[in-house]
Amino acid sequence: MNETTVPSPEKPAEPPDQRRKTGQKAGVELLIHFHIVAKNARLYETNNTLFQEQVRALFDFLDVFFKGQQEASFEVRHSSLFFNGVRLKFGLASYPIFKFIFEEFRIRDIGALSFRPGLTPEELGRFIAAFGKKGKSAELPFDRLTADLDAAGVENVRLQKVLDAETFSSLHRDTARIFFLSIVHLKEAFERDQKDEKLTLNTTRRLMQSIFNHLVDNESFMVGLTNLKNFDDYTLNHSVNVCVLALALGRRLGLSHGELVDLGLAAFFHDLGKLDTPIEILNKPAALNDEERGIIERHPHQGAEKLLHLREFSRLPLRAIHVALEHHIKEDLSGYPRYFKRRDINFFSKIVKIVDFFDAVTSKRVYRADAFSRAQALSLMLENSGTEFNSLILKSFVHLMGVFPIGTFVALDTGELGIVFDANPETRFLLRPKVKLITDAEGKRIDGDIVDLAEADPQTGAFPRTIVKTLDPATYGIEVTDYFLAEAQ
Amino acid sequence: MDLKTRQGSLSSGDNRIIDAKAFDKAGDIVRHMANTVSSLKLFPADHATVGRFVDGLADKLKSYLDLYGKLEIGINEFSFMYAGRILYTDETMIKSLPLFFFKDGLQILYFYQGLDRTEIADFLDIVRRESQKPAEDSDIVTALWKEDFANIQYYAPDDYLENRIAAERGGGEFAFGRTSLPAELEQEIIEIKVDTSKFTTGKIELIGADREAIRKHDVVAEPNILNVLPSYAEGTGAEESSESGRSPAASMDPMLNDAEIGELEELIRTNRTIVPDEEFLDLMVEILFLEEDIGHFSTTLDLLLEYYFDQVQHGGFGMAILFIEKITEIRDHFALPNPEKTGRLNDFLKKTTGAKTLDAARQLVGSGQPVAWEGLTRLLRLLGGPALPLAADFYDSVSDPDARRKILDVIVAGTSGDSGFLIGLAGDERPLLSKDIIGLLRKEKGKKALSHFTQFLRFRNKEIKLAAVEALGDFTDELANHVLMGFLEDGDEDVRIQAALRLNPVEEQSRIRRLIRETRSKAFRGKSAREITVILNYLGRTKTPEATAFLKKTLLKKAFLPSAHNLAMRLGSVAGMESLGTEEAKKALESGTRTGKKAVREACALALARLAAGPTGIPGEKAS
Repeated sequence: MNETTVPSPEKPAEPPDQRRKTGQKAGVELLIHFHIVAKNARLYETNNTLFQEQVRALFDFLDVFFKGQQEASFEVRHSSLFFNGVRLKFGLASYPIFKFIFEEFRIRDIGALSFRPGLTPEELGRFIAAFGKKGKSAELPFDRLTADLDAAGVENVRLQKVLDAETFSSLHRDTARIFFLSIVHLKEAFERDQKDEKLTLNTTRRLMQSIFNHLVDNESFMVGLTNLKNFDDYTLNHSVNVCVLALALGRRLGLSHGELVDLGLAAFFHDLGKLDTPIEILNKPAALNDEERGIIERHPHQGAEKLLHLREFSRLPLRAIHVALEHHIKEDLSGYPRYFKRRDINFFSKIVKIVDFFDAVTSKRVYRADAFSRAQALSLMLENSGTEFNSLILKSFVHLMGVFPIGTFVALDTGELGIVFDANPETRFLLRPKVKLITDAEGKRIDGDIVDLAEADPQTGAFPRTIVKTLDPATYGIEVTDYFLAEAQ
Repeated sequence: MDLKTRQGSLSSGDNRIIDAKAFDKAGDIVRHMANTVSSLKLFPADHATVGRFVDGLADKLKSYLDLYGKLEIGINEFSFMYAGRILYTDETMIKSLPLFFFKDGLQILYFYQGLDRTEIADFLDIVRRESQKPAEDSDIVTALWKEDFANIQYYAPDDYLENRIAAERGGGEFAFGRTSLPAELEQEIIEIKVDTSKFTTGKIELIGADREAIRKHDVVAEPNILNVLPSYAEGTGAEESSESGRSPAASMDPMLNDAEIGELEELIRTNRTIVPDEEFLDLMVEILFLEEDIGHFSTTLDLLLEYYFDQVQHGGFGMAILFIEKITEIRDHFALPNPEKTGRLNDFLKKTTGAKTLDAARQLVGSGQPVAWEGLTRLLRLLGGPALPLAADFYDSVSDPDARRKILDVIVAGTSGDSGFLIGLAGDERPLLSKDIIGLLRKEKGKKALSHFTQFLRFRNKEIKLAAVEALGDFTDELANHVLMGFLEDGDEDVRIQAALRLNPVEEQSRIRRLIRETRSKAFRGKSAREITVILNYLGRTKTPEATAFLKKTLLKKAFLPSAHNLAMRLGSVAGMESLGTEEAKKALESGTRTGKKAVREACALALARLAAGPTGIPGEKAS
């Protein structure tokens, strides 16, 4: 590949704000074009008319863009995507393309990609074809791709390998450590609260950042870990799960870093009030009587009061108190507690309500032998959309979790059984997640590969594997989380 | 930008060959950064010195980044590093910039091309703010994370956090900046061990129901989930076009259409505009409402009371009002069902409207800080009568006319238009308010309002007295004259003169006689010619025979020994005669033109000339 330097274009300096706006707009538009073309490169031959039209559309965009700029460059830097030096911010709607581009860069070890003037439609087509080609797992993806591009005579598209600091290796182990560290830290916080000692909120804030960073780098694995229930103590494990899921959802919704820290903190402490609920009631292996239910239903109020009377109250986001108090209030304001005057619940409470319910009903408890599967839980929640849950946030949550949420135990049409390890962000492939195979076609247990159900046979165009049934892992003695944790060893 | 070049300069770790020029430039940058941070601690951010430092740093960074694309600064306990070599050292515990970053686990700072002055200034501001916070509140990493700079990134490894959590859990001393976890703690905290042998052991036999369902292919996914995926399809790309009509943004998200995305974004926006204090109060009211334990109820009220006074002390008067209103509301709600709670709420309300609130407001205004008068006056109005003296004090200390108007409204509303209460707020130390109260009484014009003017006779402040005198001039009631006569006794000549000028010429014989009597008194002899003139002029205006006779006698009186007083009396009587303006008065004035005293002759001639010309106002003096 050509490595000569293209000098920066001589043009009047644009004000920084304007430059950012222009860069953001152009970058997202180019990303959308690139996203469509790259997706279709997997499905079509290069002589397909639709594919060629889309390549042409991408080329036309670049052609116009090059009239004012000397290059169009995407760069991944510290989990952010930059376009010509301007950091691109994703919104609620553009999240899937950002996820797509990060994933495409990650699997190919690409740190940066730039298009240069001089590019022809044919050269662009050759690049896209090479980019869309799947390699063998043993190959070094970046080296293979650059070799293919050299062979195809692609000179005006440059790639840069990901820098050391941006590599994605060892992520699972680090992610798992943060997950368990969160449980340890929450346990410590609960104990401090019981002893009336100060909480270490600065540490909690740092923890929220780390969880978020791991979600950015390794979302599916982190979400997969929330399949873990009842580690140490149910409330601790549940609170961390709620925190992780709330942060993942908040990120999807485009919340700022500052908001995410507050949301994470609020979710983390949402069940603090349960410390005052007698353990024999929390773990009663039978239906609760009215009095016991009354005691359970006091925990949101007790949690809010606990937070209110913390010595560090002034350093706590107010929304943490909202969430503690409101996470059992339904969208139609029924549920508990019943408000005196307020006619709405806080936005963060709406988020936590959803993830709290989801995690709770998918957990097996002493009083509930059969937990809902993740998919069943989402389905149940959708039945109550608008009355119990905010319908828009719930939709976003369903999208985050997917048709077959991460951790779902599935049977494939091949006879193989597997566990969903990652959702496919593309709309058309929502039924085709990535699945770790745990048995062969005869049911013999194997430590199989993670297969992408969206990958079609290049010869026939048919999909080799399709999910035909979700199964209850408990029925088969499968510990779903073990498969995730094994990745972290 | 050449990507390969950038990569080459960045990623070779400690073994990289150091470009001496780059090293020097980086050193210059960090030294300048340390100096800039020092200047920020000494001067306000908008100070010219700070501005020069920031400009200098921006220039140096730009120059470096234009050449190398990225600057990576390693952070050790007391040093900044560049490519593994010490770049800058400061071992002063208090002010060491490397230590400031290091203590929170920050290991590398990255500056990227594209960095502009605004971003640098924001970065420095964060450093300044965090360095000024108490240690337990400060965390530069959290602050940088929240700010989420585009071109300034950092590396703070999870190991640091792990160490911190371990130390907090172990109760041991937390060594800041330490990133390696002690082995014993590492084992204690996190041990991820999964027996993977079970993954490859045995076989899974599907149960009958599952086998049957799979055979029939009757359950693929939860239908409810599929229902919210309207554009779900599993095909070959033709569905791209089926999304036509949706915006590019919406087409990226199968779950939400444009309207829904708009609605959700509006929810997020609204969440960002919530006023935290109002939310807090709303929430507290709900918590109080839900509280069943009277002890907790009281504790929460105590917390609220603290918050209330904090609001008042910091000028959050709008919030303070909301506090009182909301607590009143919940008090009314509890009035019947829960007398105990009602009692606590009443106590709370009593405290919020008591002297402490007034003192806090007084202190705030006295401190010279900007005051939200709209809120404060609303609060004072809500506090009612006890707040009126404070409002009255504020009135004279405020220069903003709009604020004064608001305070006066509070006062008027607080006294319910009762002039007795109103006059009670006037005082020598409150001249502006007193004058405005006089203005209000003047507008009232009734006898009741007039009766309160006697209060001003005791005032020492000349301005107030003059205003009262002037207002009294508007009244035609005899009572006004009575008060004005009182002002004729005032110690200040100007007040006396103005009072005399405003005396109404009514035929009140006893008053005229009294005045005539007083002209002979020793005290009257001490009065100035000007005062004598206005008093005699008043006598003339009464047009009474007694006054006429007195003035005539005085005008034509020949003294044995000429004296200034005598002359003043004669000249004053000229003015009186002129005011009288009758034929008898003119004759007297003509006689005066023949008198031996030149000044008197001339005054009489002028008076006659003016009388011939027609009325021109009060002779000898003009009301000020």
